Amino acid sequence: MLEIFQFIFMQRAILIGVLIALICAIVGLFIVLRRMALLGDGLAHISFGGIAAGMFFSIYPLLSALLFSVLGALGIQKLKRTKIYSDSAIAIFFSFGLALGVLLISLSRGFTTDLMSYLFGSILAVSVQDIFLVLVVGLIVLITIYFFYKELFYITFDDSSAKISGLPIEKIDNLLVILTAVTVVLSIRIVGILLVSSLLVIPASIALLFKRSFKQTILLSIVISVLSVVIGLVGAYYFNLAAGGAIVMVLIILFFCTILWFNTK
Amino acid sequence: MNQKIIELEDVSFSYGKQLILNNVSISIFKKDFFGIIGPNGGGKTTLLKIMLGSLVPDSGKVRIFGKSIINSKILKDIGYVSQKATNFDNNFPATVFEIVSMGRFAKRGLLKNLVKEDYTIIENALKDVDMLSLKNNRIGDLSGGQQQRAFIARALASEPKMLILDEPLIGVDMESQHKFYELLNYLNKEKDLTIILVSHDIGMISKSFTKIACVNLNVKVHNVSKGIDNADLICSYPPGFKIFPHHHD
Repeated sequence: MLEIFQFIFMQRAILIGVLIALICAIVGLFIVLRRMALLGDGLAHISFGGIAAGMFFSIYPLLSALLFSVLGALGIQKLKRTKIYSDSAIAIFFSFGLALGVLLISLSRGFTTDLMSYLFGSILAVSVQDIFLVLVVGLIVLITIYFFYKELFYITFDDSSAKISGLPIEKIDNLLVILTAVTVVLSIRIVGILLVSSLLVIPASIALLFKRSFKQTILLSIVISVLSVVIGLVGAYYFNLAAGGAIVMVLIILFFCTILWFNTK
Repeated sequence: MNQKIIELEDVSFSYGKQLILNNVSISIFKKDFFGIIGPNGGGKTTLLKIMLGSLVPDSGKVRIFGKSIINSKILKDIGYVSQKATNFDNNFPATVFEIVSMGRFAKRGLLKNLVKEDYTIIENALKDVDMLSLKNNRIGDLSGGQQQRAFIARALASEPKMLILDEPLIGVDMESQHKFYELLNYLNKEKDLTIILVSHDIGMISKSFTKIACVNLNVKVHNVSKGIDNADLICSYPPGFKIFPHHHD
């Protein structure tokens, strides 16, 4: 069993996998409760444009994806505050990222295998550069959440009361969306663009079924998320499966088992 | 001298061409238990929004705690319980304690965690509304009356100079309403808290009020300490509007 941890690529995958699982579990709970579950998916598709642009111009793709995702997130926020509905705002930026990605791919043939690893995730492709990015940026995200935890909690429960109590709710809302944008990009290496939103949405949704306090729900979400990522990665290694798909399958199975368990209780 | 908490001077407001408030002047003093009563669409909510700085009047002056600019610093001293307070997602994962602790967030400020002193204030606010024993219950599992008390506790936890309650008794049963008035009386008389209560229901008029403002385009303020004269209390309701004033002790 322990032999797999001797492989450097597995050590790397587990290390960043656990960190990503932790961040997604927390950020995910906030966005699920704020009814923004699709934001993660939207931002992932915007990142696709960034990945393609990075490959086209020979820049580190996760860095250009980070730029695209954060700018896209701010764009969505701006549109949301005009007369555009927020899901339409997400759809508009989502299409933009995807269209740009597709255009850049059609302009240059030859990076399709690499691109596949970003679309579906690849633990074999995790580089030292990736680890460095995920560790540094991931820790920044965790520290930011720690310092803004109480404000994020308040606006998630009720933003109009939060505003009247004197909190700067627009800024906190922007912060949450930026945190989501960053989290999405960090997760791309492990689960891939197409499956990122599952790590944000499913652990939080399972944790919510337990009907506990906010802090306990966050802890539950973290435990479920980390456990699924580790089981998924180990399973992927032994059965020679795609890691992203394996992780998401573990989450989906857990989700339905939890629902079944609460329904039969 | 008695301190002025809110002062409105010749305030007018209209939405487009529709005049909502016409030359309204109101002074609310420290320790007042001020009732704002009027029919739906009469301008109560607009008046409240002006007092909270969310709307700027077309003309006239507004001063809260002596200041004419209503910023977040002023808002931190106002405890506000919205009419939509109990209208939240019942599945939201939060305990009563977690909800009441929100009242401390703006006071403590950004980047800072709550400290021991905050937790003492939160416990005291829970004690004031008689909800300490339910502090670990999930907010969504409580009755409407209990939720209402939790939200009042959240407002109290911010140690406000004034408490504003907007239509607080919608969806609250009669027995809870009675307890609710006892609580407000206690806060007003024993804790010297200035309270403003807004309602469309003239049945809400209570002996507890020190002053009542009838709002319907114009505002007429009645001083209750001189004794309620029912005829006097009939605000300019639309014709045919039935009024059954009754008193809560």
